[in-house]
Amino acid sequence: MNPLGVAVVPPEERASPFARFDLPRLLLVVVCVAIGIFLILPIFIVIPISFSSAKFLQFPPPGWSLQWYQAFFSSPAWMNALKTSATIAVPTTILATLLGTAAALAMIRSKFPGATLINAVIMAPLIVPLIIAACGIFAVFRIWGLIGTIGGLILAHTALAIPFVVVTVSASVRTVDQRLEQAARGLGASPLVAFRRITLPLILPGVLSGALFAFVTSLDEVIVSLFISTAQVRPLAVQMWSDVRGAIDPTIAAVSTLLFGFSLGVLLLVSLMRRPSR
Amino acid sequence: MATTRQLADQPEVGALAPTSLGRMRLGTTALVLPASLFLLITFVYPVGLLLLRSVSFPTWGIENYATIFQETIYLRVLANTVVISGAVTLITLLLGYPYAYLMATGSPLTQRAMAFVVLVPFWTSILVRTYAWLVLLQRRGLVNRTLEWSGLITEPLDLVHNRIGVYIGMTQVLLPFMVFPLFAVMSRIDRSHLQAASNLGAPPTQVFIRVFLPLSLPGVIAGVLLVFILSLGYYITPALLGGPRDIMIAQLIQEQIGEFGEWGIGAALATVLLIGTVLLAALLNRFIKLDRIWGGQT
Amino acid sequence: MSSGSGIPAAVAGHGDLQIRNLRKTYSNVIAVDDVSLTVHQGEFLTLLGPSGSGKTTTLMMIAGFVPPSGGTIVLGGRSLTVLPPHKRDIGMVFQHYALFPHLTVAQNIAFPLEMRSLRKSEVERRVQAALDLVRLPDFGARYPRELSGGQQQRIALARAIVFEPSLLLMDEPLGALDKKLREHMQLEIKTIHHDLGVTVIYVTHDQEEALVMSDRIAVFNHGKIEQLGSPSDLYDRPATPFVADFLGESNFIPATVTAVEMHGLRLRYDRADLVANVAPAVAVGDNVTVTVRPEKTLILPVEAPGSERIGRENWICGTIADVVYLGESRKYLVHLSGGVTLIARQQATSIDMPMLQPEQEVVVGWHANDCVVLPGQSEAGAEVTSAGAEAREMTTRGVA
Repeated sequence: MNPLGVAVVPPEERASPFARFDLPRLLLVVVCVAIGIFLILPIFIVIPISFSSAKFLQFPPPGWSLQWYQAFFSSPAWMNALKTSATIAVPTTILATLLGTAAALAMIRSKFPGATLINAVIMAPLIVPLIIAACGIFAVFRIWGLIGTIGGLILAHTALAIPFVVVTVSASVRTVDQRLEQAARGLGASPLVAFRRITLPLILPGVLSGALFAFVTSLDEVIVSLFISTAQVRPLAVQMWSDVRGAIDPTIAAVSTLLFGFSLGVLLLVSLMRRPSR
Repeated sequence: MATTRQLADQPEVGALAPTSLGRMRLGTTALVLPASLFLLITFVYPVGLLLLRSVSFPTWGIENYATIFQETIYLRVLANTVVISGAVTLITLLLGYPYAYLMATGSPLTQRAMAFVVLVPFWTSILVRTYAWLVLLQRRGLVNRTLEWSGLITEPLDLVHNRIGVYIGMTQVLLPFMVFPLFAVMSRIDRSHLQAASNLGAPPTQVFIRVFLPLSLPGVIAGVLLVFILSLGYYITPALLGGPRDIMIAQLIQEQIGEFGEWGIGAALATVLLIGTVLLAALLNRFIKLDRIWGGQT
Repeated sequence: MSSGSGIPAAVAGHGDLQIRNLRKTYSNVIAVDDVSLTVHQGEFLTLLGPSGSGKTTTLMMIAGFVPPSGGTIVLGGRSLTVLPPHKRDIGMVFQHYALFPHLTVAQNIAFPLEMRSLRKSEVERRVQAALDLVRLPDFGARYPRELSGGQQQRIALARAIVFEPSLLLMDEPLGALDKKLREHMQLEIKTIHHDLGVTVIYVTHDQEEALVMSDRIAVFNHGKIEQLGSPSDLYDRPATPFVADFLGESNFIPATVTAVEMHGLRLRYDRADLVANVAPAVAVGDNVTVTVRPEKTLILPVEAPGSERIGRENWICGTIADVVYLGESRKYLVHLSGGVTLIARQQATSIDMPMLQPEQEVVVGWHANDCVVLPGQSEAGAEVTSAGAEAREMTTRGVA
C-alpha cells in the first residue's frame, strides 16, 4: 500500500495492528540487507582463511590451524614492519592530536583575519588526492634527506592525520557552551585553569576519537608511505601492499584478520565515546 | 538574595570582560599557528613544488601540458578516469539512496545497526578490504565456485583485474561517502512536510516524488560530488583490482614519477587532477560543509 | 445535544464528526483513553489541555497519522478509522505550518488541487481566491522562507481550505506567533470559519485562546475529556477542580456541608459560615471544595464599615501575604485563618484607589452565586494543586 514505505506514519507506529502488510517496504529491506552484506561480508571472509590448514589459498579451508599466525609472528619481515608501524603511529598520534586540538579550539572559538585561508591549509590533506601529496612529499623529502627515515614517515603521517583530528575535535568544541568557560573565569579561574577544569573534560571524548582517528590513519596509510619508505624502514601497510600484489599467501589473511579485529575494536571505542556527548 | 546581587553585578563583569576576553581571544587565535605552519611545510610546500615542476621540468614551458592533452595514451587515461568515476558515482547513488532512505526512516535501532554496517568498512584498512575482494573474485575464488556449483555458469568468470573488479572494489570503498551526506539530509527532512502532503491528498508515491525526493536533493548532490571527487584521485583499489586497460590518472602519475622519473608529465597530470578536484570541492562546499561529512559519521 | 453516544451514525447530522471510544496506547502508556465526542457541522470545537493530555494524539488520529488502538471515527456517515490520510479529505494546519520549502506559495496552495486532478485554469482560479481570502493576493510567487511568521500561518490556512474540506484541523496554529499577532490571527481565523461554514477542530494549550475562539471546548486531562461545554459553561460552572484551575485562576476552599436547602447549601470553613446557590449531590457532613474565581471576590480592610459588605453573603477573615501589581488590576495573596491561601483580584477603577498593604488584616467576600461546590476534598485538592500549577505554567509559557 505504501510504495517505498514513505514515512508519513512514524516508525514506532508501524507495528500497530492497523498497519497493513507492506510489500514495497519489505523489498526495500531486502535490498538494504543485500547492500549490507556487500559492505561487510567480504571483510569477514578473511577470518576463516587465516585459520586454514591449507598450504595455499583455498576456500572453504580443508581444516583449521594457526600456521599463518605462526608464520606472521615468526617472520622477521612482518615483525619488523609491525615494529616500524608502531614506532611511527604513536608519535604521529601524539603530535597530530596536540596540533589538531589546538587548531580546532582556535578555529571554532575565535574569528581572525585570514581564517578561510588557514582553514583551507589545514583541511587541504582531505581534498588533495593522496597520490599528489605522495609525489610532492617524495620530491621534498629527497631534497631534505628524509626518505626511508622514521622521522620522515612521522612528519608525513602527522600532516595527513591533522585534519581528521581538527574535524573530530571541532565537532565536540561546537557542542560546548562557551559561556561555561566564561562563567568559570567569572568565578575566579585563570584562562588556563578554566580550560583545564571546564572545557577539556567536556571535549575529551572528541579529542580521544581524534587521537584514534590519527592512529588508524597512520597505521593504514599506504600511498605516501610507499613513496618515502625503503626496504629497511617499511611500515606494515607497505609490507601488506607488496604481499597483496605478489603471491597471495594466507599469511596476509592472518594480518588482515588482526587488523580487522583492531578496526572493530576502534570503531566500538569511538561509538562508545560518542554516545555520552549526545 | 545572593543571586539577586550577582545579577545586579553583571554589568560590571561585562565592563571588565572586553580586555580579559580580548587577551583570551588573541591567545586562542595563536593556537592555530603550529598546525598551520606544520602543514605549510610538510604538505602545502611539497604539493606546490610538485605543481611547479609541471612547467619547470625538464625545462620551463608548457610542453608537458601539450603532451598530455595531445597523446592518445594520456587522453585515454583521462577519459578512463572520468568514465570510471562517473560509473562508480552512479552505482553508489543507486545503492546509497535506498540504503540511506531506510536508515533515515527506520526505527532508532535500525538506524544504529545500519550505521554500524557502513562504518565497519569505513574503519577497516583498505588493503584488508581489497585483499578480501581478490580472494572472493579470482577465477578460483568463492564467487566463481558458488556460481559453478549452482550450475549458473560452466566456465569461471573474469571478475578481477578488469573493469568489473574496479567497480566492485571502488563501490564498496566509496559507498559510505554516499550514504553519510544522503542520510544527513534525509534525517533532517521534517516529517510534518510528508504528513502535510499526505493530508492534502497525495498518495504515498506522490509524497515521495513531489516532497521527499526534492527535499533530499541537496544530499544527492553532495554525495555525488563527494564520491566523484574521491574516485578521481583513487589509486589503491584500481591498481590492485583493475587490469592494464583500467589505468586511472593516479596510477599514471605514480608510474610517471615513481617508475620513469618523468616529473614534468607526472606533475602536469597531478595539476590537472588537482584543479578538477578543487573546483568540484568548492562546489561541494556550497552544499555541505566538508568538515561535517568527515565528522558526522553517525 | 442531539446525539449522545450509542446513537447510530445515520441518525446524526450528516456533516457531523463522530468519535466513539477512541483509544491510543503506546507500549505501556495510555495516551488517549476511551474518548467519545460528536463535533457538529460548522462548529468550532477546541481540544484544550496541558501537553501530554492526549489532545494532539486525538487530532492526529482524526487526521490519520496515528492509527488508533481502538474505537471508531466517522465523518458525515463515512468511516475514517482505517482510511489512509490522503483519502480523508480533511484540511489541516500544522503546528509549524509544514509549508513545502521547495515550492512557491502558489505551488503550495495548488498542491491539494493537483492531487485531485483539477483543470489547470480551475487550479489557478482557486489558488488566487484562497490568496485573496487570506489577504495575501500578491504573494503567490514567493517562497515560504521569504514570508513572516504570520504570513506563513495564513498561507498554511489557505492551503488547508483551498480544496474545500468539510473539516479543518488546526494543531496549535498560533503557537509560534507573538502575543499581538496571535490575537489578530484569532479574529481572522474566526472570520474565515464564519464565512466558510467549515467545521473546525482546534488544538491549543492556551485557555484564553480557547475561550475567545470556541463554540465548545473539550478539556483534556490524562487522555480523557474532563468536561465538554461552551466557554461560559466551563468557566462559570466547572465540573472538576482540574477544569476550574486550568481555565483561569481559581481558589479552592475545603469546607463541610452543614445544611442542604432547596436552592443551595450551607457550608462551614474554619470559623466562617458560607452559602452557595448550587445543589450538587451532597449530604450534610460531606467534605466538599468551594471554588471561587479571584475576580469574583471583594477584599476590604477588616475595619471597613459594615455597609460595604452588603450584597455578598460569604466573608472570610485573613491577612495579606503579598501584593502583585498587574496594571489594570491588583492581585492579593491572602492567608485565611484556617490555613488556606486565597487569591483575590481587584480592578483598579481609579488610580488613587488605595492599595492594601502586606500584613494588613482583611476580609474577603463573594456572592453565593459566584461559587461552585465540587464534591470531595483532600485527594482532589492535592491533585488540583499540582495539576493546576502545571496548567498555569503551560498557560504563561503560551503567553510569553
